[in-house]
Amino acid sequence: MKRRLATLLLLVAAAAVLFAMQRSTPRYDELTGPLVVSGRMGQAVRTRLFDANVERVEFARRLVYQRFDRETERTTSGLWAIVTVELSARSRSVNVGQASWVGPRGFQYLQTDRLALAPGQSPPAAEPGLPRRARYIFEIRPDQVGGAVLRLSERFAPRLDSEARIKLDALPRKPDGALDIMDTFDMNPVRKEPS
Amino acid sequence: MTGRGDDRSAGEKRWRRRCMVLLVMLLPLVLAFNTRENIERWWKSRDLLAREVAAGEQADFGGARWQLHALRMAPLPAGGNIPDNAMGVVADFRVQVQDADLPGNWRGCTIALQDGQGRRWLPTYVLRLPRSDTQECVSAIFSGAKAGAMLRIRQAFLVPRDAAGALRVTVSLLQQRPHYLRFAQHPRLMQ
Repeated sequence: MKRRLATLLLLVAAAAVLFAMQRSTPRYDELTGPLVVSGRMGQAVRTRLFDANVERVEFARRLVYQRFDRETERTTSGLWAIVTVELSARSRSVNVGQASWVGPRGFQYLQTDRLALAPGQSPPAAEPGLPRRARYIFEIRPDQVGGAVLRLSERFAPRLDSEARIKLDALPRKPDGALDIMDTFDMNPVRKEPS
Repeated sequence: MTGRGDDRSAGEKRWRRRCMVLLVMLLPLVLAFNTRENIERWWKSRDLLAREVAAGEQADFGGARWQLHALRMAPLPAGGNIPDNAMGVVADFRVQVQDADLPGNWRGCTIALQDGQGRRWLPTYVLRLPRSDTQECVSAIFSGAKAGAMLRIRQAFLVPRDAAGALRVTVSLLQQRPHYLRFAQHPRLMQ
């Protein structure tokens, strides 16, 4: 009798272990998904192909730039978030072309496609040994500002390759603590005054 | 009775040993059989074996005869998309087509610069070169060049100044991998 009970217990235990294993087995998507490298603003995040350092985040209600010698403006009912990143390739030239802003509620914003032919909007090509600044612009909802994360990778949804996830934790604030939002952000490159 | 039992146990032991030996032999074989496609793909997806080409020499590669005609460099002022401390490098090839099937032979054509630490610089689109009868490697694939034609291939690169003088040009074609060409010539500063 005791032996049968022990066998039964063993069977139940085995079934429980198998069930737990089945439930906890990662899916193919998770197994082959991006290899996350986390960091925060002001520090270099090292992925397999590039280093990224988010220098600043700015917010604006309106963007202006020159297109075919004409002033062009883009307004929004939300906010323009402008992220300036220093990029440096590691072992080979790389286009860090995939960027997204993930808000505190999980909303994911890809780079805006409303800035056709604006300066500095081609995918930023980084070369080994030549750090450069790149600007990523997102059109977001105002409630997606705090606690957001910037995701950077070479390709959309990288498989078995690293993706930088940088916490955007140093936002521009006014002296009273409110978010500093510019009325207009000029995207044109700064022209050097002739000396 | 005992003798028959001993015989059986000896036979079992013998078979157990044989099975273990077979297992040790079969496991790697099965593993190799199952992964052979992946291994082959890995082997053919990388530039692993360099074929060195001496300065001024030509090399037959991918149905064409490649010659590095000139490799020049010039410091670039920072501004726009040009970062600080950048050097522009331009590689000019003269390529004589031997097999006109360029879409087949030159698929995945990549001309790059390589340094001693294995870093690679791919062609840049930041530098705007003056118009000429040269073309980039990828666009030459669809040029319809016939056997015997001479193509002028030009690619531009953006590299750090301190590394520029020691770089070497490589040519890689998908069909030729893991072999690739590496030219001995270093960039010369333009006066």
